[in-house]
Amino acid sequence: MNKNIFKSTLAIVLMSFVFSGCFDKKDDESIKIGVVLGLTGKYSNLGIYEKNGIILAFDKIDYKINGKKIDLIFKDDKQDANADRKAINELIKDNVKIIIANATSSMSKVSLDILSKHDDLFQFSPTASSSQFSNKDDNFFRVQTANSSKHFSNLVKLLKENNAQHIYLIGDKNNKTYLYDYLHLFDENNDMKFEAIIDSNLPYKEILSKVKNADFIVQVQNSTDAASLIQYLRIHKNTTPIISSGWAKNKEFIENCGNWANGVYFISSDYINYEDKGYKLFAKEFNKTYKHLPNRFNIQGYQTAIIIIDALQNGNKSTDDIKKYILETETFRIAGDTISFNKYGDIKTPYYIFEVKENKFVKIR
Amino acid sequence: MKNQVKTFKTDLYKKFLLFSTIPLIVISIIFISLIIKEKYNLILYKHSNIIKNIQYNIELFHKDIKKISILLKKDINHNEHILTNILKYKDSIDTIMVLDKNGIVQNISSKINKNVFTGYDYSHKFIYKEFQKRKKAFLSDVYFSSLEEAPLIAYVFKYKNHIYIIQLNLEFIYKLVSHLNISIMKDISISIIDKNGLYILDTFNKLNVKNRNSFFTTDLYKNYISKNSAGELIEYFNTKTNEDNYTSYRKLDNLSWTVIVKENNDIIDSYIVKISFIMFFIILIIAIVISLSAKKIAFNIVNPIEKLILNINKFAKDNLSKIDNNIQSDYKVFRTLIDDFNFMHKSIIKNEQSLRQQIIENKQQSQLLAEQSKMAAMGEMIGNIAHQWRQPLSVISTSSTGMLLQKEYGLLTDEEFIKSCNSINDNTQYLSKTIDDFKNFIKGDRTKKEFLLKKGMESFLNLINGSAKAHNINIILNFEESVILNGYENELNQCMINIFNNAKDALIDNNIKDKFIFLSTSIKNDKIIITIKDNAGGIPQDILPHIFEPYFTTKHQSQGTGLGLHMTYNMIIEGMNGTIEANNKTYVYQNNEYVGAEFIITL
Repeated sequence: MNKNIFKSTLAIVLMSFVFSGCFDKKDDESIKIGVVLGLTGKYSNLGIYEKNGIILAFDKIDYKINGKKIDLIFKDDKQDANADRKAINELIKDNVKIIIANATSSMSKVSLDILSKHDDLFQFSPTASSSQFSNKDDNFFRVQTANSSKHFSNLVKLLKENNAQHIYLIGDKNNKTYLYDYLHLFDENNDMKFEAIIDSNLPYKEILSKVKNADFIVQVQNSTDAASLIQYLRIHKNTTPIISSGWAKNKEFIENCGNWANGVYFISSDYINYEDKGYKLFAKEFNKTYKHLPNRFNIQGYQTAIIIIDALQNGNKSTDDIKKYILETETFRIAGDTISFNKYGDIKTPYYIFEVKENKFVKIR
Repeated sequence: MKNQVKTFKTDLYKKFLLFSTIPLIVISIIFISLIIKEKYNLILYKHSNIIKNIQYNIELFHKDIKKISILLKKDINHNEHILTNILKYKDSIDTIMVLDKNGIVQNISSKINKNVFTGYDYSHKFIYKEFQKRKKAFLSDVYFSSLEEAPLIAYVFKYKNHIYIIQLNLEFIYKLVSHLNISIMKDISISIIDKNGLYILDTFNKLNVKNRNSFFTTDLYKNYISKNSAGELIEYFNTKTNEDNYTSYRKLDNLSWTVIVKENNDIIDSYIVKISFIMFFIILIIAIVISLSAKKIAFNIVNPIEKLILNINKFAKDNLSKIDNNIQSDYKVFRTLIDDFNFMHKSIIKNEQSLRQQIIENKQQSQLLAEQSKMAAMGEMIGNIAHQWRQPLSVISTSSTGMLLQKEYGLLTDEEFIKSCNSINDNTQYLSKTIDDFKNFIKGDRTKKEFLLKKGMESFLNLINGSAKAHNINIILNFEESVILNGYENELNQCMINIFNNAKDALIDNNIKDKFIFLSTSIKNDKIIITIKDNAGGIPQDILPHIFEPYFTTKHQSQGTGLGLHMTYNMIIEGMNGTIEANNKTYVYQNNEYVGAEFIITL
C-alpha cells in the first residue's frame, strides 16, 4: 500500500516537472510585437497618442492570443534616424517579426529601409502618410491614408478659390518624407507652384519677413510648432490665410494657438464620426483608462493593433500569412471607422478640408 | 507478552514524542507566522514612513514655491530680471509665465529658448483653463509642455488680475525622493501617479515619466492596486522583472497624487527563509533531543516495568524459578513498586514455605488424627468383637466342656460328639469371618475398586452387629439391589461406622426405648445415595452446623475425640468426590412418629 502511494507521489512529481517544462516552453513561444514610435521630445505627442491606443487594444485581450502571451516591446525613435535604426535593429536581433512603426513618415522610411531587407518582417504604421510608401508590393502596411495629388485636390481647390498666387510652403525638414508630398503638391497643376519654401526651423522673425508677400501659406509642421508660428505671425499683423497639414490637427494646436487658431485651414483625413456606435464604445473604454476622450491618433494606434490582433487570432503567424489575411479581409470596421486596404496595404479614405471655427475643427469640404 | 511490552514501549515513546514535538512545532509555526507578520508590518511601516517623508518633502517644496509666489507678487511690474533670478536659483523651475486675465502672455522667462512671446494667446491652454475652473492656486497634474517638450507640472496662482504659471520639471520630485535615506531605499522603487494615471515619478523606470505611460494600464494597477485598499501590503508578481514584490500605496494629503512604494521581496523572503531555516534547525535539534530524551524516558519507564512483568510472569509460572532482583529505575515510584514486588515476592515465598510446612504438619496431624480416629474406631470395634465373640465362644466353651463331662461319665456318644464338634466348627467359622472383616478394616486397604454396595454394607453390619445387639438397636435395612460403586470400600465402612457410633451414642444417651437405625441405599440421577437416620431426637440446631468440624464433640473427653464426623466428611468430600449432609428429620415408622438425625451420603 505504502509502496503504491510512494510510486504515485513520485509519478505525480515527475509529471509535474514534465508539464511545468511544457508550460515554460509555451511561455518561451510568446509572440513578440515591436512598437517604435517617437515617445519623447518635440514629436512625442503623436507617438504617445498612438501608443495609448495600441496599449488599450492589447489590454482588451489581456496580452494573450490563442493561449500565447503577447510581449509588446516599446522603443523610442526620438524622431531621430539613428535612434530609430538602433531600435529597429534591436528588435530584429530580438527576433521580433511584427513591428508597429512609426508615427511619422520620415521615421517610417528609416525603418522601412531596414525592414524591407527582411522578407519575414512586417511593418505596420498607424500614421505614416507619405506617398513614398504607396503602391508598393512590400511588407509595409498602414492605417493612414497616403498623401497624393488626388487626396490634395481639395487643397488645390481651396487655393484656387482663394485665388492664391503667392503660395508659400513652410515645412519642417525634420519630417522630410512627409514634407515630400507637399513639395509635389502642384505636380499635376502646372499653373501653380510654391513661390517659396521656407524652413520652419528658421527664427520666427525671419519667417515673418519671408512670408510678407505670401497670399496663402501651406504649413507642414507639428501642432505646437504650427500653433506657435501662427501666433507669432498673427501678433505681428500677418493675416495671410494658412492651411496646415493634418499632422498639426489636434487639440494641442488649439491649446497653443489661442484664438488665432480660428480661420486656419487643415487638410486631413482626420475625421471622426462621433455619433458612430463603434466610436462611442471605444471612446468610453478609452476614457475609462486614460481619463480623456480619444483623438484621431489614439484611434489609429488602436486600429493598427486591432488589425494585427485579428490576423494573429485567425491563426496567421508568418508575415506572408498576416499580409494575405489583411488583404483578403480588405475591410475592417474599428472604433467607428471603416478601413479598406488596397492590394498594396494602403487605405483609401478621403482627405477633407477643415477650418477652425470657435476653436473647433469644422469640416468644410 | 514481550511483543505487547515492546508495543507499549514504542507506543509510549511515540506518544511522548508526539506530545512533546507537536506543541513545539505548533509554537514554532506560530512564532514564524508572528515574525513574518511582524516583518510585513515593518515593511508596511517602512513604506508608510517613506510616503510620509515624500509627503513632508513635497509640502516643504510646496511652501517653497508659495514663497516664490510671494516674491513674484511683490514684482508688480513683472520685472524680467527677478524672473530670471528665480530660474537661476531654482533648479526645479523651468519656466515662469505671467498671463493677463484673458490668458494673454504678459511676461515669460524660461531656461529653454523657445518661440513664445509676449502677446501669445494662451487662453486655451489646459493650465489656464484649469485655473479658471478652480479659481485658486494649485499644483497641477502632469501635462506635456510644448515649451520644454517634456511632461511637467505647474504651480498656478493669481495676483491682481495676473495669472502666474510656474512650470516645474519633474526632476525635482526625483531629487526630493533621492534625499531619502539610501539604506531605506535599497531595493525599493517609488512611483508617484497623478489622478489621470500619468507618472510624476518612477524611480524604477524613468521612461514611464518621459514616455507619459499610463499607470492605469499596468498589471500592478489593474490586478492589485485597484483591488486593494490604500495602506495595505500587497504581494504581487512583476511580470516584467519576473520578481515577487511587495507594494503599498497611499494618496498624498491635499493632492490628487498617489504614491506607490514597491519593494523586491527577495531580501524579505530570504530573511523569512533564513529565520524559518534557523527555526527549523532549532526545532530539528530540539526534536532530536526530545526524541532521545523521550526514548530514554520511555525506556526508563518501560524497562523496569518490563523486567518486573517478566519477574511476575516467571513467578506466576514457577515460583521457584530465579527472578531478577536487580531491577533498577531512576523513578521513585518505580523503585517503590519494584521494592514492593520484591518484598511481596519474598513474603509469598516465605509464606509459601510456612504454608508448606503447615501443610506438612497438617498432613501429619491429619494422619495422626486418622490414626487416632482409626484407633478409636478400633476400640469401638474391639468392643463390638467382644460382643460378637461372646456368644460363639460361650457355645464353643459349652460344647467342649459338655463333651469333656460326657466323656468322663462315659455318656459321650458319637452322635453327641459329632454334634458338639459341628457346633464348635460352626462358631469357629463365624469367629473366623468376624476376624476377616476386622482384619480388612484394620489393614486400611485403600484401593479404589468396583464393589457391590450391598456386600459392602453387609461387611459394615458384621462389624457393628454385635454392638447393635448389645444395645438393643434395631437396624432396619433397605438396600437397592445390584448397586455397584467404584470407590474405597474400607473408607466407606469407616464412615458408616463413625455415623453409626454417633447414632448409637445418641440413642443410648437419650434413653430411647425403641432404638432404630435406618440404613438405606438408592440411586437418584445416576448418583448413589446412602441414607442413615436414627430416632435419637435429632441434633440440636446450634450444634448442627459444627458437627463436621475437627475436635468438635458433645461427649465427655473420655468418650469422644471429636474427629469421627470430621474424618467422615474429609473422606467423602475429598477422598470420594462425594457430598455428605446432615439434618434432623421427623418421620413415621410402624405408625409411630420419630425424630432423629439423618445423614445423606451422595456418591
